[in-house]
Amino acid sequence: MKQSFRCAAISENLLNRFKEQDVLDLHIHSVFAHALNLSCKSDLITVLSADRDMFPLSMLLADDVLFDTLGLSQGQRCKLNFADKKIDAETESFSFSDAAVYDCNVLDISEKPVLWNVIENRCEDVKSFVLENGSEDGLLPLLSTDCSMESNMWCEFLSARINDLCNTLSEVFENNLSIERKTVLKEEFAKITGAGPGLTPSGDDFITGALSAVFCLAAYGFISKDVAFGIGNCASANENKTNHISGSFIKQASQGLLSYGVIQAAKSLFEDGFSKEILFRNIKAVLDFGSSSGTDILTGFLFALSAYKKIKRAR
Amino acid sequence: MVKLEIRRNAYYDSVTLMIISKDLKKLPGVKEALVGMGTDLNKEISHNIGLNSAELDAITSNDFFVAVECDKEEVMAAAIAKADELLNKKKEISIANYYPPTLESAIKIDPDLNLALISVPGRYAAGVAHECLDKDINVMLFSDNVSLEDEKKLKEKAVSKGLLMMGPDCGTAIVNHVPLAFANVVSKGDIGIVAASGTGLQEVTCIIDRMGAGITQALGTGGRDLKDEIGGLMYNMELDALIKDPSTKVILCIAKPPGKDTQTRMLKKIKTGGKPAVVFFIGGDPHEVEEMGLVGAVSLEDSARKIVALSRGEKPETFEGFDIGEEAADKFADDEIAQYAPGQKYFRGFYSGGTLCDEAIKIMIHQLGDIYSNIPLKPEDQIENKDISKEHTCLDFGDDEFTRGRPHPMIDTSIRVERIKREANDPEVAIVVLDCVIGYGSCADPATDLAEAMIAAQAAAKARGRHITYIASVCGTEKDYQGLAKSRDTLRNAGAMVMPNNAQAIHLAMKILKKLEK
Repeated sequence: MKQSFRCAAISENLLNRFKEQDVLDLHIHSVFAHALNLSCKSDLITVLSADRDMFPLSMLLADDVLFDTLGLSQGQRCKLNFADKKIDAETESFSFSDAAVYDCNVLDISEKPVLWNVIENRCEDVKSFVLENGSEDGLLPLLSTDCSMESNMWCEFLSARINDLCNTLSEVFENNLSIERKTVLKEEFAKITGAGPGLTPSGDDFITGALSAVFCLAAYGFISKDVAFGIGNCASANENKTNHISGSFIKQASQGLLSYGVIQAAKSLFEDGFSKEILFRNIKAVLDFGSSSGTDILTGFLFALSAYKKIKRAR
Repeated sequence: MVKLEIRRNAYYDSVTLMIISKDLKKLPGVKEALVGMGTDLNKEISHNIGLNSAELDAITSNDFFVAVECDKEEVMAAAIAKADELLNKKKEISIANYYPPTLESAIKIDPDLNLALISVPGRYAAGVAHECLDKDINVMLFSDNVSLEDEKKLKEKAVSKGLLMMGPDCGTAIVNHVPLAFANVVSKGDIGIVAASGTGLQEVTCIIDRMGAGITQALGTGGRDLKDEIGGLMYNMELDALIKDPSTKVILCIAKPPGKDTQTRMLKKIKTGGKPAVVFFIGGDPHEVEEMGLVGAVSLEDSARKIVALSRGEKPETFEGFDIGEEAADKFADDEIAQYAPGQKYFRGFYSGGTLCDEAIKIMIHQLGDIYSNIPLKPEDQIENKDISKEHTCLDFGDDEFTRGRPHPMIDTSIRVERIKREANDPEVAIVVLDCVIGYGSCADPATDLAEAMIAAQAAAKARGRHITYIASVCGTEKDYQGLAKSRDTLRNAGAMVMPNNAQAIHLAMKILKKLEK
């Protein structure tokens, strides 16, 4: 008899992405303790244990589940049946018939932002908090301005490349995205994509964080949505320079589709009504992603915001 | 030289990869190590730090690699072995903290598991229990609200497969020295117990432990097993198991008086089993047991004392006295009575354990006549309103009508705490008897909650010129995490007379009431 699991939530873009199809043929791409990746052409659909953070193209189970203890293995075929609202694998099924729908599109945010100088001040607080609580295994030392943190080979390899990228981002924020700048930006993203330790290399996490900041700036009206999508296209053009899983995160972020944790952190940074305690709690939730992934995402996020800060000051 | 281990299309989470990377660098003979996904930039970094290899150039960004610079093959082999060990260790850690959501996933983690403790709403309980029995897993069914028909089918299935089917409504068991649900940490020994009673089983195992003896197994059956409709299916099987168990030398049986046919069969089985046994039917007539040539008992304490005597090869003697001695008990009673105001004459028993409440009523009823209760011995003694005491009242706060929509009073003391305080307003109350059950399942410090309630209630009574006698007993052992001595001290410091067990607490209350009558 098949084991059946109930999904508590499903991301809206997963429902929308395949809404034209009744049944999708999938195969199991990878099985982790707390996540199951299903491959569908170029997309990865993820089923997450209840204790994980919800992200785009995913569904979250109602219970904690260790997928690597179930009868799931790489390459197995399964079906995503939209009519029956379930994923059917050989030995398990995952039903999303009563799952809540999670809107992971940051551009759907309709609240107004606080004043930019408030955001700037909060960014300084966040930076201090990340430096104090983040993982030093990835790109965190790049955030340190007083050389108090020891650098590592990843930072040494990527430092200049990241500075170049951020300078170009400042130019794009200032002057919009010309064809020439698109070419430059695409190359600069390429020089970072796939570099670093971990399943999602630090460079990729940095890009995901930077794209998250770009789309937050667009969502709250600081830059145009066209510019955000233009930057996103430059980043996702290098998707094949990293592994499928990491590339999938970049691809989602390049369309403004972000994880629940990142959106909550962004809201508490950009909007009124969030105490510093809540802000730090939400930032901590992002820091807890993976080994250094959360720290690298926030590093990218803060670098992209500082690129915008430069042009605000110049003005 | 640079050595490589490549795993195509292999994905490991970042936390694992980071641990592996750090640990490999610490291995003796390893000059440099890099662990990661085979992206172009990671290959570039690998070249930059001197880890050059044509093989590495050929891998893709979806491949996992371990690159090690070392001089010897055995160092590389050790590095790969270390990486494997760490990958597997990670899995073990995640399983250790894992609560499987389904029976199947639990079995996958540990295919050898052979006992399930089921606590699900009653309407699902029989189905889950059947599923376990079908998979050859013994069952302890904590859930209640299972029909007699379902219980019988489950037990017939269990018996046919030689499996335990303890319950429904089985709250206590100790199997192979593992306490299950509400149970205490007791010593190992040679006494085997079968009980159709939860707190009864707790009380006797704790008294046995405190007497320096110990148990082999303490098996539950569920309260209805000895009804003629079920016919003692599980009691019979568990007795068989203890009779055959070479480490069980003596057997203690506890139950409410069974159906007539079932009782006869049960006593015959014990008799023919050949092992010395004590049988205590709570509220039953011990002579019926003794007529069969077995040892009967008059209380839980008495049954525990007798089985310990049998285990030690001594002659069992009936005990209905006090550890403190008759004289001290008399003095205590006289001192308490001297403090009462006119009109204080009634007893109140507020229990979290159903069997202890039942035992109290059965010990007292012959002397007091009527004891009003939510689990009365006589139908006419059914209390009209559970929230308002009437004359002599003894309540089981663990009964359904008190626990509907709230935790059991062993877990949440608040319902008894409120009642103890409220009862101080009744000018006719003289004595309040309480149980304090500790051990697994019970809350972290029930004694302090009860103590605070007694202090507040006594102060309220004093303000009205009255004095209330609080008599308590703690069901537990020193090995329980709440601590027996600590719990007793807490109650004593709050002004309670702490007796060694429920039977002695009730006998002391009886002594006061008898003196009051005079």
